[in-house]
Amino acid sequence: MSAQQVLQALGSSARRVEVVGEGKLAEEVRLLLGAALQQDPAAAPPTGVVVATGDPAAVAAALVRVDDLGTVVLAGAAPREPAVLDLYGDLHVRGLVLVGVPSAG
Amino acid sequence: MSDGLDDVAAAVVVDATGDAEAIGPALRAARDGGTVVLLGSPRGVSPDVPLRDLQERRLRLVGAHVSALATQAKREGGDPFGALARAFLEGVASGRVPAHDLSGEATDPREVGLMYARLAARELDRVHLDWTMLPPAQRLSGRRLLRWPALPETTCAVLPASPAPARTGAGVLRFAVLGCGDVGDAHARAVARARNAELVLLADAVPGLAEQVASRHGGTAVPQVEQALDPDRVDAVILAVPHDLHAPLVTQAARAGLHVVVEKPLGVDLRAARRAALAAERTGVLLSVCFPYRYGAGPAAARALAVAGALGPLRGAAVVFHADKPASYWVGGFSGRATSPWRAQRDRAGGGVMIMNLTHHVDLLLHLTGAVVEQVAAVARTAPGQEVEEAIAATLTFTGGAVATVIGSSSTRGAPPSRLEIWGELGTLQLEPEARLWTERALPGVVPGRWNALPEDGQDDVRTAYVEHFAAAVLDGRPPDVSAQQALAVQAVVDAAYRSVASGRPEAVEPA
Repeated sequence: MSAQQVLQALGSSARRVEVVGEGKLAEEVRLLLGAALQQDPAAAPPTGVVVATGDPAAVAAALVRVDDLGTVVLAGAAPREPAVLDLYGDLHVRGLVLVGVPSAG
Repeated sequence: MSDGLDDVAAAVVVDATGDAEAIGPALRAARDGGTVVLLGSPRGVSPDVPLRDLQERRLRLVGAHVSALATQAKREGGDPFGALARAFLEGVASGRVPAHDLSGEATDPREVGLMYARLAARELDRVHLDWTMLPPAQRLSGRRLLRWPALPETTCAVLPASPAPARTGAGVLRFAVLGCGDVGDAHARAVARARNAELVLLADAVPGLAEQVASRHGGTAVPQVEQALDPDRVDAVILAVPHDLHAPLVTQAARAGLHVVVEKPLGVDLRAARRAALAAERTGVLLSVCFPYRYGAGPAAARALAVAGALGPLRGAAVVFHADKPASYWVGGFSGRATSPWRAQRDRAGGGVMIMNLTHHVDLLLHLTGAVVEQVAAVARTAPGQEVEEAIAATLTFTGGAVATVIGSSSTRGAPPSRLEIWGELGTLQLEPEARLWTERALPGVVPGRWNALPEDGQDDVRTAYVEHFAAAVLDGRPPDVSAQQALAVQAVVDAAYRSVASGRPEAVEPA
């Protein structure tokens, strides 16, 4: 896996991106995002969120936080447990994309 | 055991189930690197979204809801909905998007409730709405996607109120009227008003009655029945006499070569009715029974709608009839112009409220539904010292399983409004006390899923309409609207009801 693949997965949502996680991959993605990295939680909703924690709860939170039509990328360590998600309110109606980038990629 | 989903390996899976738990199977059906489009609105929380699979297999889960297009348009301008619609329609037109196997049966959008019911019942597995079935005034135009055109504030009338006789031939049918009591007077007036009939002769066994009626409506009173049955002077005769005289006079008139109208019932009982029908058949004259309420605007509209499928398969019917007949009725009718006890005598009248009044309702039930009654179970009340029933409650079972109750009373003080209701799988018809229809079908002039008023009219002209139709049938050389066979079917139901009252058991309706 590379930070470049994560950026590709974000696609056109890579305009205002929040990264969740503290590992090496997360740091590389932040560096690669440059000005597109959103660091102020009070700012406008991010167009993309990269979740690199392996925590299902963080994915659910990212779907709530991301802007309409935005993208949430699962990267880094894969979640071990299934997630409990409201796919209607948090994904379907708002036109979100949830995409995976495998850890071995 | 494998369910095969893992072998599908689709590049794109569209989850249109609306089931919150379908996300797992949908992801499994996608190939690695594939896309799952969440198109159906999943209701409820998805408890087991396999995020590990989604990530490790590089899957994309895409939410697709029409409101996202509005968000896109707001941010970026343009018309993304229109662009998608155009792309889809161009794809269908070019064949790149094969849709013929998805379209299924075309459905009128006004019948959407019925469509979903059929889908739920698995009568259909695919269907589409054909918006061209809507009348132009009800179609949406431009971008007014969320604005439904105004529905009529009032319920709608359906068919013309006064059906004209369906006649093609010319001429006038000459009538005699036998029996000049209350009903005979009504018949004479109807003949006098009819555009294709002439009132020529009148006769009654009671001196003076025929003269009275002739003075009101025209024609010549003659003292003897035989003089009224004169084929040189009349073409047809209307019998408005006690029920026990119907069959003998039908036979006598038929032998004279006259066409015959009988005031209901056809006979005093089923056997007599059969004799009358046979006499007409053997002599080749037309025989009809006067069931004039068929010609009311409401029943006529109801019949047209029922034939068009407004009710669907018959489920049931209910009739409640009330009359408040005074004691004087039983010895002199409503007017008292002639004194005779025949209405209260079983062997002369054949019965009470069932044969005297409810025959009209039974005829309407059969006429409007086309159904066949197989069995009748009835109970009746006959007042002490009387011969004919004053009240009856009958349960009818139709071929196909539909049921009906027919209740009548001739001694209901105050005589509240009567009721006549018929219902089927797709609609309900009420003729009394209001003439209205509810149907799920989109039929001309009808709003589905609402009560639609049927046209109303007075009762004065239905008998005239009946006479005009009968005369037209004779002049055109075709069968009358109310055939002897139909009248026999009504009589057979009445007969079964009286047999049931006597036996205390349900009785099969004999073949007409």
